[in-house]
Amino acid sequence: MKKYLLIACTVLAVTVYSSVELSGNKTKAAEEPAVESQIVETASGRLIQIRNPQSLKELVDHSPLIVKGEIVKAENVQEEVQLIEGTPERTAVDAQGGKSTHIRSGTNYTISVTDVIKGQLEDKEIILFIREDEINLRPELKISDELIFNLAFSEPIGRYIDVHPVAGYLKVNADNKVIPMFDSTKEFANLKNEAYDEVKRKIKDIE
Amino acid sequence: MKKKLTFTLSMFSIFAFLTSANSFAHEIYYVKSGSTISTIPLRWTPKNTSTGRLKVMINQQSLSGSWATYYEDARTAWHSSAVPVEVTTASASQVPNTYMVTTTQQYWDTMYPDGFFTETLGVTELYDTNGSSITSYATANASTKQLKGANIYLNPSPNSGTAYTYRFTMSHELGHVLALGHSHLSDYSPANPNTDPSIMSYTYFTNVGTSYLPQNHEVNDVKNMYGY
Repeated sequence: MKKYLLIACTVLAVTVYSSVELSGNKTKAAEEPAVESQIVETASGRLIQIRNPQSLKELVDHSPLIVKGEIVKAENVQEEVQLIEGTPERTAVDAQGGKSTHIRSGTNYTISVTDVIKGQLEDKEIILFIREDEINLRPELKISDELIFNLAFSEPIGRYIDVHPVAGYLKVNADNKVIPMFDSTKEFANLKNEAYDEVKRKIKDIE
Repeated sequence: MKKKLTFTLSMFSIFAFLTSANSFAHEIYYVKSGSTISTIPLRWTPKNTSTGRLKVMINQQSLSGSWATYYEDARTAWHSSAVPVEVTTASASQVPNTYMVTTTQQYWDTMYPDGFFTETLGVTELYDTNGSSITSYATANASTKQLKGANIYLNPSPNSGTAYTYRFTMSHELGHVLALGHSHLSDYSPANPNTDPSIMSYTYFTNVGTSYLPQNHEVNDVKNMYGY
């Protein structure tokens, strides 16, 4: 009896620890970022689905405005969004005894545009808005940074937004070499250290 | 000698089993400073006084499109699970504590301006017993910590919605109603999606996910948090 118990315990102990080790190996593979799409949570717990562009063409095709510019100002803003009476969201808030406004917090980045690669732009300065709870999904954006921005204009908020939180940004270094923030596909990765004019030409060719 | 060895191996087996099982409860709001994690333990208070189970009573009348189609699947996923909660649809004579709504497009585009490649699917807003809205660590800290209700807001026109996405999103948001936090965050004891699947984990959703049903992870989290 004792002999069987001894064998059983040994088998159980080995099984448990080997399964932990094996699962650890699986985790490494599973945690590699998916190229096609991913679900992420923002800092406030919002569920966002992000689809990654499969090619530069796809990114360019869905970017109404592509510019090169420098970040000259970053300003944190908190804006009240009025919930309109009779809408489902207002009804739900009223039922909970909550306030009839929701707060949209974020940062307005003022971009001084130096080159328009795609789209029409009259102003030399534009404002890019990023929600506060999504900042950590973006590359670090600092004043004086120069980048190629892939943007779309949001009518409801009256400002520009990026078309993709990572692929929408290609940094332009002081030596005019481009560093794509998104490098999960070979085509994007190959843009690294290419001259700005060459990247601009590639975008123009797609356009 | 054999006796001693048997005892040692028995203890080792028990230890190995206990340390391999996940018993970590993820609170919905936390901050990390250095290696220290500070949490705000929020707790859902509505309960069925007869059964002692937590009680989520939903008004789903403002759900539309595919959210309405798959609502029942997400609701029964929780109601029929081993989680000590009953999730029901409020009848006309009952007072709901949770509202699930498909919002207007104008509201959604104003609150969550998304680019072409991104889309917000769902948001949960919790209400404490004073009726204060909780949407962040700061508001959670200032709250009574006792929850009396929740609103789940859903995207009126998701581009990439599959049946699984609709079911998973609603089921995931219902987890937040019970103050369950995310289980995938690298700085907050992430659950291994292979050995500890969890619908509160986007790693599970993205890499492994095939189920929108509450997993043992959710069962254990609720039991740990609420003392069942």
